[in-house]
Amino acid sequence: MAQRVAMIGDVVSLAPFASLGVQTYEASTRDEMVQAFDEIMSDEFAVVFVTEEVYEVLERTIARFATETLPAITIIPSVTSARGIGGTKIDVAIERALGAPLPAREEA
Amino acid sequence: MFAPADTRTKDTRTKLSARMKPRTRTLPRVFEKSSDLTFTSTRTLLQYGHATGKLAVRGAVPVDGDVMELLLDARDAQERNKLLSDTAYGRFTAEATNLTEFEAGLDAARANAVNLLAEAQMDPSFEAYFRVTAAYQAGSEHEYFAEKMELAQATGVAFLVQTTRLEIDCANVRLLMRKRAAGMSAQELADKDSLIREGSLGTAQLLRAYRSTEREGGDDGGSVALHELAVELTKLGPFRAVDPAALEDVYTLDIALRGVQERNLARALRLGVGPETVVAYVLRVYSETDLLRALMVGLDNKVDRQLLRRYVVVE
Repeated sequence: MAQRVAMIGDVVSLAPFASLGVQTYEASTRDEMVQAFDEIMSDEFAVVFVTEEVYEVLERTIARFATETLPAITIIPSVTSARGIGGTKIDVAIERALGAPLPAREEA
Repeated sequence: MFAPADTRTKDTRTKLSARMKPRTRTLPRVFEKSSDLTFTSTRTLLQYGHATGKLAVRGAVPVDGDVMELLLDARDAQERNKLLSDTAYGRFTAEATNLTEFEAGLDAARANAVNLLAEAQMDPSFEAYFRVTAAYQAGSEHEYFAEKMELAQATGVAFLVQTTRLEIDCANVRLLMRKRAAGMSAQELADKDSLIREGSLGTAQLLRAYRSTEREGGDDGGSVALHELAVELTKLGPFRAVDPAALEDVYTLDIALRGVQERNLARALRLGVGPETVVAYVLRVYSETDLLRALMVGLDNKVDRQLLRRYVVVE
């Protein structure tokens, strides 16, 4: 079974990941972030990326899943954050976090 | 016209020569390099004149909000390249055919800006200061700012210390707004010792602002709670000119705070010749390359331009 990946963040940071086959959830308010996170946790994802903005807002919620094997929740810098790094470099951050690059989406 | 032959004895000539030597006042180190100086010494002119002259050529057109708007409205990559060719980045990105190459060009522009510090023979602590920025991911925000402040103080340049204090203020405001959105109480924030020290605004002052806008029975992180805190924070020091609404969105918050820092840099770039000008230039390149990167990532992935504008145009 393919390892499904989800991500919560802002529209600019999400954009490069959508083309990689990542299920993206745009959220800018706390309610939207909570809703997206709940939806993801009720599904079967192997990896969940959250931008640092989302992590800071959902820190306590995310901490409750810290001991779970799956999904692996990883924080990545957003493209637009103060010390954010660009889309290509986010790929590098992911590779470091996962030990492998995200595979490109296979065209149907 | 020639001077008459000097008939004075050798001893007299030596004494006169000693008297005629230009007087050099020994200033305390902190003043010698401080941006508080109201004159430009010959030494400063010699040391920084070359580097500052280069800046005048390199940074002829800063990538400000107007340029960002033009880049957003550009019909295609060719038009964007033409616009960028008038800025300090054109020569680094002109050959880029995709996002990866464009980002490599921005990295080269940053490296080139940092090289100016060496060209101006500035103390190694300046370069170390910018290396901390690059190596941020390794440690916590507290460690990051502690190291930056230490290096800023080591340079002896008051402007860099002041800039670092402002950066700490921005980090604290960002933290407060995000923690309010998370519904964190003032007590919990204080217990966790989350705020960073050594900003121009004290942590106690910021906590007071947070506590004064706390709702009875705890915060829900809702829009009213966020708005009240934003209003309170924009009454403080460097944030007085900021529109509270700009702080309320967790993403556009960074753009609003970037504006605060941009105004600080603009002041330093007007100072003339000195370490402040060179440092402000490097800081500006760091800021602009961040925004250009975000812009190109957005455009490359066909993010709606009006939406993208909110993330990359500093008012």
